Amino acid sequence: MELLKINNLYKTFKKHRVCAVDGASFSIFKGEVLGLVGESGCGKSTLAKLILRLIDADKGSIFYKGKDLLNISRNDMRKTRKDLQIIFQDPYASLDPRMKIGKVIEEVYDIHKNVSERDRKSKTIELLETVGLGETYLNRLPSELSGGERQRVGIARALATDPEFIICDEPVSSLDISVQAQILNLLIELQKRKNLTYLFISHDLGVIGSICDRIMVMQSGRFIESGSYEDIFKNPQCQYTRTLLESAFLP
Amino acid sequence: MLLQIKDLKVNYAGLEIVRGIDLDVDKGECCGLIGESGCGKTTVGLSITKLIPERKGNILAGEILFEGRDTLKLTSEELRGIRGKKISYVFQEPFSSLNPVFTIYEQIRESLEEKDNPDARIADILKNVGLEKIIGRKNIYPHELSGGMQQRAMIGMAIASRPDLLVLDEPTTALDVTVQRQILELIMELKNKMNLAIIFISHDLRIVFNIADKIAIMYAGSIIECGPKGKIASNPAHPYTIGLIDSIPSLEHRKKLFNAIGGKAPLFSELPQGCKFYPRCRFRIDKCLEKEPELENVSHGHVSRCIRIGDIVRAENRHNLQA
Repeated sequence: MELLKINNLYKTFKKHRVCAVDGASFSIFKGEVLGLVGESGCGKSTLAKLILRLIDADKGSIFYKGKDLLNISRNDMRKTRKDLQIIFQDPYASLDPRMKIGKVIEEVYDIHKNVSERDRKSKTIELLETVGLGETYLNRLPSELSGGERQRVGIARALATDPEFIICDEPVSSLDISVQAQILNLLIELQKRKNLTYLFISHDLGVIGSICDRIMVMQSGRFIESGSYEDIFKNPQCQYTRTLLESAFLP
Repeated sequence: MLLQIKDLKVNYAGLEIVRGIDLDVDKGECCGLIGESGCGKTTVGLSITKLIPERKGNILAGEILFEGRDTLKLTSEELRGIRGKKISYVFQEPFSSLNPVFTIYEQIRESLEEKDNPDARIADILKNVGLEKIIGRKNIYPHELSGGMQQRAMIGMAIASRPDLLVLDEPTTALDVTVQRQILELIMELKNKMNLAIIFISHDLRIVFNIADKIAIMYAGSIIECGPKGKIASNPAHPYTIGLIDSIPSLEHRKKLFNAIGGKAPLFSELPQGCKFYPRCRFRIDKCLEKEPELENVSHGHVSRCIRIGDIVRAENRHNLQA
C-alpha cells in the first residue's frame, strides 16, 4: 500500500540561492524501510522537513493516504502529524537541556492529547521500557545521559504518538560504533514489531545497506539513482553511487 | 623504536582515566588506537607531549620515550622543540582547530621548520596535501574552505615542520564519506613519502582496518587487545574487540539484528571489580571477577587482556561460545 506519494517537490532557499530539493518524486510503501543516502548539503534533511511540513515547499504535492498535506488546514495537519514522526540526528541538540526525560515524553501527550490524564505516567514508563530505558529515567535531565541514551529518548518521543511513519534523520551518525549497533537493533526491532514505515536518512552506505529495502541516492537536491538494495549495491548505474560505495569501506 | 609509551597513568579531574598503557610505534608505522568516547584514547595522545591542561589533569606515572628521551621529564623549553615540530597533531574538527582570523598561508608559515623562502615551501606543502588551488592565494581564510579542504590545511600545518610522528585524533569523523576517503588516502600517501609514524585515534574500526598496520583497542583506560591489523581482523581475542567487529554494519547480516555489545561503558568513578568489561561480556565466567587480567600473548605480537583467550581463539564459531 502506498503510504506517502511525493510529486515534484521543490524548495529553494532564496537567501543562499540554493535549490535544496530540485523536483523530488517518489512513493513510500507501508512497512518498508526506504533509505535516502547522500553527502551533507545534498538536501536530505530539507526533504525530510518538507514531508513533515516543518518547512513549506515552493511547489509540488505530498499525499499521505490520499490526503494532500500541502492543501489541508493547520488543524488537520496537526492531527496528521500524529502519524508522521521524526527522529533527529543530534541527540544533544534535539532535547531541551532543562526538561526532564519524563516531561519530554509527556509534552507529546500535551500537544496531541492522545493519552488520558490517568494513563500518562504508566504510558510514559512503558515507552521508556520499550526503548530500553525505564522508570528510573523519568526524573533525569538530558545532561545525565550518554549519547546513546539520549537517542533512545528521541526514539521514545517519536513513538509516543503511535505513528505509522517515522523519518530517521541520521539517527546513529553521532554515535560510537558499538552504541550505533544497539540503536540500529532497537530501530529494526520496533519496525518489525509495529510494522512501522521508515524513511531512513544516512550518509553511511554501510548502515543503509544493512537495514533498507529500497534506496534513493541524492546529490545536489536531485535523486540521481534509486532502486532496490540489490540494484544499488550490486549494479550501481551512476558514477556518484559507485564513488559512494567505494568510499564506504564495506567490509 | 621511535616512540615507546611505558606504563602511562594519567589522572583527570581526580580520577585515573589512563590506567597503565604500553604502546610502541616505529618509524613509518601507523598504529590505530581504538575505543569508545571517554575511554581515555585522546588523553593518551595528548600525554605524549604533555598537552594535558595542568588545572585538569596530571600524569601520575610512566615513561614516554621519544627517540630515546623521556618527554615527560623534559623542561617546557625542550618540549617546545618537539611539540608541533617533531610530533604534530591533527584534531577532529578542522574549523575549530584553525584560527579564523589568520590566513591559511600565515598559519602554515608559522609551523615551518626553516623560515627562509617560505612561499616556495608553503606552495610545496599545499601541493602535497592536495590544495593546489590555493597556491599563491595568500588572502584565503579558513572559512572560505570546505571541511575537507580545512582538514587538508590542518594536515599541511602538521607536516610543515617535517615531523617524525603524527598524532591524528579522529581526523575524518566530521567529514563526509567521500571526503573521508580522500583524506585517508592523503594520510597514507604522506606516511609513505615521509616515512611518518602515525598514531591514528578513532572509534571506528572500519577506518582503522583500512589505514593502520597495528591496532590497539582501549577500554576503560587500559589496552585490552593489541596486535597487527590482520590478526585483529581475522582472529580477535578479546570479547570487546569481537563485539566491536560485530557492530560494524555488514551486508552479509542484512536485515538481521547486530550482535551488539549490551550496556554501556562504566564510569571511571564506578569501575567494576576484576575485569572491567565483565558486566557487558558475553563470555564472562565467575573467575573474571577475581582480578583484572593481565595482557597475555595470543600469538607473536598479539596480546589480549582476557582469561578466556584460549577458549575464544579455539572456538570455531565464537557466537556459540557459552559461559
